[in-house]
Amino acid sequence: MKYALLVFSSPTHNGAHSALAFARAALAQGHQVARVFFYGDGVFNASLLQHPPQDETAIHGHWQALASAHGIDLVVCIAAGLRRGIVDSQEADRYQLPAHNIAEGFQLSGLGQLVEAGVTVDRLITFG
Amino acid sequence: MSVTTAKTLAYVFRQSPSASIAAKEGLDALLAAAAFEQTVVAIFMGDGVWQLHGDINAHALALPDLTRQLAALPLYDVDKLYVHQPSAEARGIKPIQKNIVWIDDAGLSQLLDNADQVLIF
Repeated sequence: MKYALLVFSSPTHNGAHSALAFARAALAQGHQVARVFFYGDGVFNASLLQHPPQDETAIHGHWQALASAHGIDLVVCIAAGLRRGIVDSQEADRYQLPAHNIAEGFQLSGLGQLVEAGVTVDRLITFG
Repeated sequence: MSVTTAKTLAYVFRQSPSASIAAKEGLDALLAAAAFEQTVVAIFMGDGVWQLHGDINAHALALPDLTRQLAALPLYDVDKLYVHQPSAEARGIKPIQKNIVWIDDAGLSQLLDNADQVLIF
C-alpha cells in the first residue's frame, strides 16, 4: 500500500515521533511511504538548528536517513515555513532574511504537494 | 498534476481560530484541495465550532479572522458546512453562516466513513 504522511506537530510533540515510528513500521512491512508533508508546527521538524539534549531525539537526522534509504519526499510547506522561520536560501534571499535554516533533504513547496500526495496514494495519515 | 478521479477529502476542524493558527492553516489546506478540484467536505466539531461564531475577534490576539474565507467556500464548490450540533450547543454557539448542515454523532461517523481521506486540524 502507498502512504503519505501529514505531520502537523513540532518535534516537542508526540505526533512528530509517532509519524516517524509509523513510517518505519510501514516500510518494514513492505509498504511505500511516498511523501511526508510537514505543515503547521510540523515545519519545525526540518530545522537544521535543532539540538535537543542527549536523552531526546534530533528528529531531522532520522527523517534524512529514512528518506534517502527509501526515496521519500520530505516536503515542508513554504507558507507555514515562512510564518515560523524555517526557510531555505532562496526564500532568505527573496525576503532579505539574515539566515536560512532548512535541513538537507527537506524541500520547501506549496500545499499543492499535499493535495497531489493525497490524490496519488492509497492512504494519507495526519499526525497532529 | 494529472488527476484521474477526484477523491472525497474530509477536513475536520477541531480548534478555535482564537487559539492558534491551526484553524486557518487547515482552511488553507481545504482551499488548496478544492482549487485542485477534489471533492471537499468541511466538518466542524469540538472547539472548531468557534470558527462559525460571528464575533470571535481573533485579531485581538494577532490571529486571522476566518469569516471571509469561510464565506468564500461556495466559490470553490464547497456549499455546505457540516457542524457537529452537540459541540455547538455545549459552547452556546449559533453560527452566522447560512449554509450550515447540522450533524449528530452518527452523522459525523457517516461523513468520515464516506471520505477517501480524513485530515484533522
